[in-house]
Amino acid sequence: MIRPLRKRHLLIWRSLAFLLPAGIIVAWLSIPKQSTQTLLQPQTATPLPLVLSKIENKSYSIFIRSNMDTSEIQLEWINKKTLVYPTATIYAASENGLIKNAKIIGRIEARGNWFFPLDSSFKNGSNRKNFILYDFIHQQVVETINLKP
Amino acid sequence: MSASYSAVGWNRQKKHYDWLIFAFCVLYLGLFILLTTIFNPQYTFETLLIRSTSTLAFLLLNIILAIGPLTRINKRFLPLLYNRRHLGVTMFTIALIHGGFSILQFHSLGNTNPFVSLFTSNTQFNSVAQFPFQALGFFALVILFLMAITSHDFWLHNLSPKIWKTLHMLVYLAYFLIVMHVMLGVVQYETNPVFFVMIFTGAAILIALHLIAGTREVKKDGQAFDLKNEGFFYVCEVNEIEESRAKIFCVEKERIAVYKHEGSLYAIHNVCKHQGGPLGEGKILDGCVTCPWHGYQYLPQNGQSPPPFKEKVNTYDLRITGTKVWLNPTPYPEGTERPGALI
Repeated sequence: MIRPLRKRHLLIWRSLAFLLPAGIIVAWLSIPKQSTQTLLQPQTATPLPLVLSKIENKSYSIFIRSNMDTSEIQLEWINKKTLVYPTATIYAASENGLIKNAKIIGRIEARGNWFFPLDSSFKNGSNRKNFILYDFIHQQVVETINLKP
Repeated sequence: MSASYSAVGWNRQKKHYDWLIFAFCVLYLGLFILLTTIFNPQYTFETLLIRSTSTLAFLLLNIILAIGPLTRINKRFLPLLYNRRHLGVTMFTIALIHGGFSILQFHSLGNTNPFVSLFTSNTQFNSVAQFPFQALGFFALVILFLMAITSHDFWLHNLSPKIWKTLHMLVYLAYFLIVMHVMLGVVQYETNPVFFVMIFTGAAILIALHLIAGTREVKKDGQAFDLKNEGFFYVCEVNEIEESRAKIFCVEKERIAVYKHEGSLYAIHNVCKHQGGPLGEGKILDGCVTCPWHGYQYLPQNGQSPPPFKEKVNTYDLRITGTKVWLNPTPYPEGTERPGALI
């Protein structure tokens, strides 16, 4: 190599000795951090002992549970089959109520037992006795479940 | 070195070398695909092909860029330099497969021209994490393409060594673009650290090798020859130069190779006319100084390539007093006959 070419090579690699690590570090620092998914109910939830009402079919079982003094009300949703819609959110609604007026309870995602706290209106005599299973991606009601005591 | 152009300058050694490259590439691709199929069976064949060719091309590029400084640090790597061009064309071919399948997979299934889609599907130039990294790979591939199609000596002669060398030094820009293509692309969403490790290790080794080799060359250029007599500089003792070999001296900012051959010493300019190879690192074969890079040859007594070749380099005067070798750095016109200094 001629002298100018040698000098040009050295100059290029001195520049790269700065640019390459800088580029690598900036790109590394900009990697998006993966958000941790939080469940809508505590993982440690256990079923309350008293069953106030229940519904069972091939796909799921639903129990409204309570403790002995009925100070806590709980929804236990047992998914027996894999979901065939992308999202499934449970809403509580009054009889013949619309989704826009319904109260969100929680989201189910896979097979297994899901527990959600409910308010006292589920004890008895309340008008909020329906569950709506709603797919919010397709914005359609998957199923309306009429819960009878 | 040959009197006429041939499509591929193969000889026995180059054929062996090319078979070795071919076997390595096949082995690498086979192993990559096999291991990925075992450990990540969910990957499609297209993904396997894109990933295996990308990592292989990047590995070969790292090897190619390491050959230059390695030969300056240790002469045992010179055979790699002699065969570097074939490795470069192989690397481009593999990179082309990677680029081609990527465009096919990600940009050719819609109703937009794939190349338009490449530049318009993502225009988030103001975001590092979302940067359109595919464009970086495309520009790097264009540079590698230009290098591959001009790699033949036909283009070296017709473009002139200066333009040719400038064009081929764009490989450093291509390397930077490829590093950023990987870092802003697959590394942004791939949790497997293998890509990051490959990039970081490769860059660290290359930077270290080039800086070490470059710094050594600067030291060589700074050699001081204080003992001077009638325009001649004392450079070394006669027995410091091996038979049919040379020592290189940088006198008055010019590198000169002093060869010992059949009882005489000869001095010629150190830079080969072909691609600027260091003639003083070669040896005399069949009576000719042979460039270690691509085998170009020159007669030691006049710096001319043997007929029918027309390359010429400068010659210099030498003088021997006792065992001391004296060199006059004033060059004679290229191809000037000089008798050499009798030992």
